[in-house]
Amino acid sequence: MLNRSLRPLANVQVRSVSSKYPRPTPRHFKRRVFEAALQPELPPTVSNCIPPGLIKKEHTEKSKEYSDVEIALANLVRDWMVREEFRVLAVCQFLPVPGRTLWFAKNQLKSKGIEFRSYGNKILKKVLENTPMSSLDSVLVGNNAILLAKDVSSLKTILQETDKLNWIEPLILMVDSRIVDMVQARDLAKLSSMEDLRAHTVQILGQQVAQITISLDSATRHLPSLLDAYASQKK
Amino acid sequence: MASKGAARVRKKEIVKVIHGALLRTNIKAQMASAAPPLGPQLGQRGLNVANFCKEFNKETGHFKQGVPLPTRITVKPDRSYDLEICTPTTTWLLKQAAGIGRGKADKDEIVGKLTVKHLYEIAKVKSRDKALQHVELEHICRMLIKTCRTLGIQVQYHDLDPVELKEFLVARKEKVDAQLKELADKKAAKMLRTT
Repeated sequence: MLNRSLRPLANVQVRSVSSKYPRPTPRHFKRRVFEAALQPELPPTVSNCIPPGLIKKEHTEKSKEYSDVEIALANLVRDWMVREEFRVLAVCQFLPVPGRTLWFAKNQLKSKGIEFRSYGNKILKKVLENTPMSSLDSVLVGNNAILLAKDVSSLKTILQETDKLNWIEPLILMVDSRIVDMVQARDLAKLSSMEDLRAHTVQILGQQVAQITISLDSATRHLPSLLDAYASQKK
Repeated sequence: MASKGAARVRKKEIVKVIHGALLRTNIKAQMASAAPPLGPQLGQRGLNVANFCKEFNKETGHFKQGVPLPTRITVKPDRSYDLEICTPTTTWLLKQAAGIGRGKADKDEIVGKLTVKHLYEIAKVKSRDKALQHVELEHICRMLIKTCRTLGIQVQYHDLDPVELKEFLVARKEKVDAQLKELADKKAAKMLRTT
């Protein structure tokens, strides 16, 4: 195929004939005989037929493999996340935004104790591999960014700040290896502080303990009277 | 014939450039003028150049004349604008601190010496910029070290020895003079070349 396409060009160069005149196809048999006689003798080429979709499959497989640089970056990110002791992680949808706006927003978030990072899903999947957070893999589709915070109460700040920015939308949050969906997160954000929640939990647990004590007490209180009644009946 | 005439009459197609709202440019303190390149840049965006120059020169009155100032001009649809004048350019500050006027011309050339103390002071100045607000000082210092590398300035941890530095600067001055002379010769030769 390549030979055929290049041959006219070679002829043009040699003969200096304008390429504007169309050549008759098929060429005259004399010409074909002449060309066949002049054709260099080459070893026969074996053309391999590639099944459809194979190249695409190979590309997909190759894109799933991690290069050394990517593994090093993933390790670096994981170490940094562990070292900084982040407790809240929000996976967000990250829409295109001018660089200047992004830079200002990043700095603004940093001033409120939130770190903005966008490493790409491939790196993030490697970072979260073999951790309880690996269940977030299903969310890592498309263009994503992560927000990290050290304090649980920053959950509220994350929601407030992302509401202000129209190019970032939180999809799911993770607090101390526990997944919090957006509805729950909004409920939690309504609380004035996380201490309220703790107090509420303590109160519920306290109620249960008190209930158990009362139930046990009532049984012990009733037992003598029951025994008395039984003894009087026997008499 | 008629078609030729029509072609002659037809005007050149003018491609209208749509400018963004933000104009980033470096303007020398107290030296804004309507001359190119600033004048046309502002004029194309529909700003009143004379008024802009007047305001800019007034606002930069506290700077030494000729200090390059990164300026961000946000042009609004009603042709009014927001002017943001940043602190002098990093390269200018570093060059001033190192006492040099020219960056490196060759790879691995050392044109000046600075200590981390200098960088810390420059970082404190730069941190006042709007773009560097809430950025850690360490991060700014790292950026400065990178700029030093591009300029060819050596950054060292220990204090500079004044005698050694003086010797270095004298040697450097001779080298720069030679470089500039070579450049001037080249330029002159190019001007004289007839072929």
